[in-house]
Amino acid sequence: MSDLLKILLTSHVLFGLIGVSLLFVLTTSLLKINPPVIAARRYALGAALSFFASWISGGMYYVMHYGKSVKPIILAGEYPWAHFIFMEAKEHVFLFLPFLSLALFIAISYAKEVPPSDTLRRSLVMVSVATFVIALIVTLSGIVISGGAR
Amino acid sequence: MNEPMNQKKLLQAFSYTLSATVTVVFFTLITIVADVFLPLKDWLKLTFTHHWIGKGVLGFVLFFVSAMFISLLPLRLIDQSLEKALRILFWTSLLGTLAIFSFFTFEFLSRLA
Amino acid sequence: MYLTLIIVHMIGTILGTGGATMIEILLAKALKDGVVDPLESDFLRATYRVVRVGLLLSVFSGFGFLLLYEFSGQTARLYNPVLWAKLTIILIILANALLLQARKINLFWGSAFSFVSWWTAVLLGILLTNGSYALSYPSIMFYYLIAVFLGAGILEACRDALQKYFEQHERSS
Repeated sequence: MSDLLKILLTSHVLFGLIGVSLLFVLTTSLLKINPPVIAARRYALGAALSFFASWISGGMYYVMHYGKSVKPIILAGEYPWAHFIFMEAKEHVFLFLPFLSLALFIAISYAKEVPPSDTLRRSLVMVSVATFVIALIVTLSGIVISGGAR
Repeated sequence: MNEPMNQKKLLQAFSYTLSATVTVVFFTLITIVADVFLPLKDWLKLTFTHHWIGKGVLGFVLFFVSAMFISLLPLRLIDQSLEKALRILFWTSLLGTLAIFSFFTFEFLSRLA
Repeated sequence: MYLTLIIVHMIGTILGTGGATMIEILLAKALKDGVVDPLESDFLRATYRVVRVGLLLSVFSGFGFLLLYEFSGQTARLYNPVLWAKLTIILIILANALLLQARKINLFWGSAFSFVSWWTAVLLGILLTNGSYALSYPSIMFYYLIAVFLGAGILEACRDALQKYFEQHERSS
C-alpha cells in the first residue's frame, strides 16, 4: 500500500472516530436536565464536519484502491461475506451520517434560541443516539471488512 | 430573540430535519433499487464514473434542495412540529440501516443457495 | 509508531481503569452518610472526566493498532475473538455511561458494569499481547457476565461495610 493510501485510510478512520466521539459527548450533553446547548451545537457541527472529511478520504481510498486491490482478495478468501454484506452495507449506510449530524446541528441551533422543552430535548437525544449507534455499526463493519482481506 | 426570528429558525430546523429524512430514504431506496435494477447502476457509473460517487452526489444535492423546497411551502401546510420531525428521522434512519443490512444479507444468502 | 501507540494506550488504560476504581472508592466514602454533598459530587465529576479522557485515548490508540495490523498484513488478528470481546466491553462501557447519565440504570448495576468492564478490558489487553491464549468469544463474555454479577455484590458489600464502620466510628467518638 502506498503512503498516500495509508494516509487516506488513516484519515478516514481518524475522522470517523472523531465523529463518533463527538456524537457520544453530544448525547451525554443532551441527556443532562439542563443541556449545555451552545456546546452541544459545536459537538454536532464537529461531528458533521468530521463525517464529511471521513467521507472524502474514505471515498478516495475506496475508488482508488479498494475496488481493484482489496475486494478481489476478500472475495477469493474465506470471508466473502465481509465484502458482500458488510462493505456493501457500510458504504451506503455511512452516507446517512453527515446529514444526520448536520440536521442535529441545525435543530440544536434552534434549541439554542429558545429554552428547549423536555419533549424537544428528548427528540434530539433520540436522533443523537440513533446517529451514534449507526456510526458504531459502520465503525465495527470497517474492522470486519479489513479482517476479511487476507 | 424576537418571535419572527424564532419562527424562521424553527422553519429552518424543521426543513433540514425533514430533508435529512428524505435523504436517508433516498439513500436506502437507491441502494436497493440500483442493485436490483442494473441499468440504474450502469447509468450512475456512466454519469459519475462510479455508482457510489453518483449516489453520494445526488444525495448531497437532494438534502439541500429538499430543505429549500420544504421551507418555501406555505406555513399552513406544515405542521411545524420539530419534535415530530426528529422522531420520524430517528425511526427512518434506524429502519434504513436495517433495510440496507438485511438486503445485502439476503442477497448474499441467495447467492449461496 | 508501535511504541507510541503502546504508551498512549497504557496512559488511557491507567486513567480509565484507575479512574473507574477511584470512582468506586469515592462513591463508597460519599455514600457512607447516604448523601453525596456538593464537594463529593465535585470530586466525582472530576474523576468521571479523567475516565472519559482515558477512554478517548484508549479507543484512538486501539484503532491505531488495528490500522497497523492492516498496513503490516496482519489482518487475521482483526478476527481474534479476544479483540471482539474487548470491543464488546468497550461498547458496554459507552452504553453504561449513557444509561447512567440518563438515570436509566441504578448505581448497583451501573458501578458494577463500569468497574468490572474496565478491569476486564485490561485483562483482555494483556491476553491480546500474549497471543497464546485460545479463548472463544462466548466463553469470555460468559465469564465477564459472571464477574459483573459477583462484582455488583462485592461492591455493594464494600459500600455497606464502609457505611457501618463510619456509623460505629461516629457513635463511639
